[in-house]
Amino acid sequence: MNELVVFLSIVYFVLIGLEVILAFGLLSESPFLTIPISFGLGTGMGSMQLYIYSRLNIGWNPILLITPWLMLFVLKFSSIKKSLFPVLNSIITNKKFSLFSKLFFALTILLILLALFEADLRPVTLWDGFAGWLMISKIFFIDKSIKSSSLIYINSEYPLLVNLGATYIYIFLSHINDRVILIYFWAYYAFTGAVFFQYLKKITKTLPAIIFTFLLLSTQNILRHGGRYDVGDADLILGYYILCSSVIYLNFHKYKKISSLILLQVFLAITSLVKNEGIFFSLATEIFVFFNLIKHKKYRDLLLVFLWIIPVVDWQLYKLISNLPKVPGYLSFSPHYERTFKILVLFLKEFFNISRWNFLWILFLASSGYIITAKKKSVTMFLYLTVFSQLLVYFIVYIFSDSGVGFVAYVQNTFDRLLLHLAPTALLGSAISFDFQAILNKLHVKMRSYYDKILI
Amino acid sequence: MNKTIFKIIIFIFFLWIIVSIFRTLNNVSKVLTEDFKLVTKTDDQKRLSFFGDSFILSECLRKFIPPGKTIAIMTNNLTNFFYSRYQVYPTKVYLLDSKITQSNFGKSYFQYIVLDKNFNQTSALPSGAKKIGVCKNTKSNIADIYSL
Repeated sequence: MNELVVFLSIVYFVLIGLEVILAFGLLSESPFLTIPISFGLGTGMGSMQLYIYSRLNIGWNPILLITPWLMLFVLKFSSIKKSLFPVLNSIITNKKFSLFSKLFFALTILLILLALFEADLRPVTLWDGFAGWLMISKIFFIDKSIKSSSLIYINSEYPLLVNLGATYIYIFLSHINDRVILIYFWAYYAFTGAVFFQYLKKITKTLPAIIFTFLLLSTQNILRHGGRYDVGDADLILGYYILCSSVIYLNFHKYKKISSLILLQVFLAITSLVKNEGIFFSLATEIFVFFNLIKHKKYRDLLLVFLWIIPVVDWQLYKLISNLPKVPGYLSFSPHYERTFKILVLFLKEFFNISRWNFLWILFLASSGYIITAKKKSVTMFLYLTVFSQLLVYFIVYIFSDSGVGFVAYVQNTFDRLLLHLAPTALLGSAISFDFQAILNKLHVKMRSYYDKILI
Repeated sequence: MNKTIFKIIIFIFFLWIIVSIFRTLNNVSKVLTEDFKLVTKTDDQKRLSFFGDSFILSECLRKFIPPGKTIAIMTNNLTNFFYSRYQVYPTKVYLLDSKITQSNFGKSYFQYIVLDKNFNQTSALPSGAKKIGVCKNTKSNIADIYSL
């Protein structure tokens, strides 16, 4: 029964996101992306709803939470109805899949079910889960609001979006259950695969799209955070939002529609409120948006570039007013430049850690070499540049960090989680840099001729 | 240069597919052979098998201390502190280290003190501290609970 409530809550978040996208025509040019992106949008808006209710002293009860979304549905019913058909059409397909496509579909579904089984198997065991993310969710649920005194007790300066998402589900559950809540974290794993597949399928073909989705979801570190052992952390969630924001940016780059720009601003705000690391990604993306608008002389839209900052500034002001810690405790203001070489070596070690990442980062590094030396630069450069700029930020943070424990152990214990933020986007970059469909076709022809020879 | 990189990429791509298929099947077999045993256990049995004494301690705190009180815990084991803090909320748990002196306990801030058996205590407990309970696993004592 508890599992059913969590599943219905996930559907509820998808419906909120879907409703907002359809009501305001935010992704009309790419209906295939609507549902996988709706989950992230719905969760983000739901969490912000709890935050706003708490600030306005409105009670957190299910009826009060559902009412505004029902009202929006009634008010915008005609536009929602009109935009719904292209979305449904993009899901339903009469296309016949090849045997290989079916095989990789089956393997991908198997992985998603495996992660679901594992997520629902144990109560939270991950340190960051019970010491941070789910601890705060539990506090919010018991306190029935966001109390600054509780945040001071926890000594947390992290944004609250992920915690509030879990609290939202606790409200629907009407009790705390730290096992079934992990299904909510699993949902991000499944929807990361969905966004990745849907976008890649549109850019390439079904077979390379499903193969790369399988490769992404079978990566051990991603699978672990999706359901096995390490579920309950926010790193994969940030990875999902960075992927969504990147895809929306590429969409905006292609169609230059203001609705995509607005949706991008919403996603960048959510990304910045998942974890502090998201702020750097949002800044880097906004630089691309800024130059894009200047290049196309869309000066009037420049003001929109600052939309995402509003909720971020509001959160920083709340921290200031409430006397919460301002900067993460691990940061110091004295740089340790002598660490430079060590950090680079540790970074490379992690990139080549096949037991954790399979060949994800090796392929990314090799393909970035290919992209940099290629004569024709494409829009995929955006994906490479954002990943590299984010890696640079992590490098600088390690230069300035004061962990209190051994520095090498600190990097080893944290860098694999930081890479989770970037892994889906990095693989998307690798996957769309080459014509893998042509490579697969070639292989198919070769195998066929080899097979024919044996038969003769 | 570009052709060589391209060939490397194709090689990595196919190698990765093969490795991933094997790993997925290996994960499935692990679920069937190892994790499936957990299905019949209750959540508390799973917590006990994973957290051991930290779970026993948190249950013990729940048993002896009414919700909403404030506890000072003296332990070297950070899991004991963080897991208890998570499990017993709205009871508030604070970590005290060995440098804490009697005056640091304050007059009425903490209502209870939990003293881990393995904790190297260098200061005396405040006067008036009264032992109200002992937390035990099947073999030995884990911690003592004092009210102030």
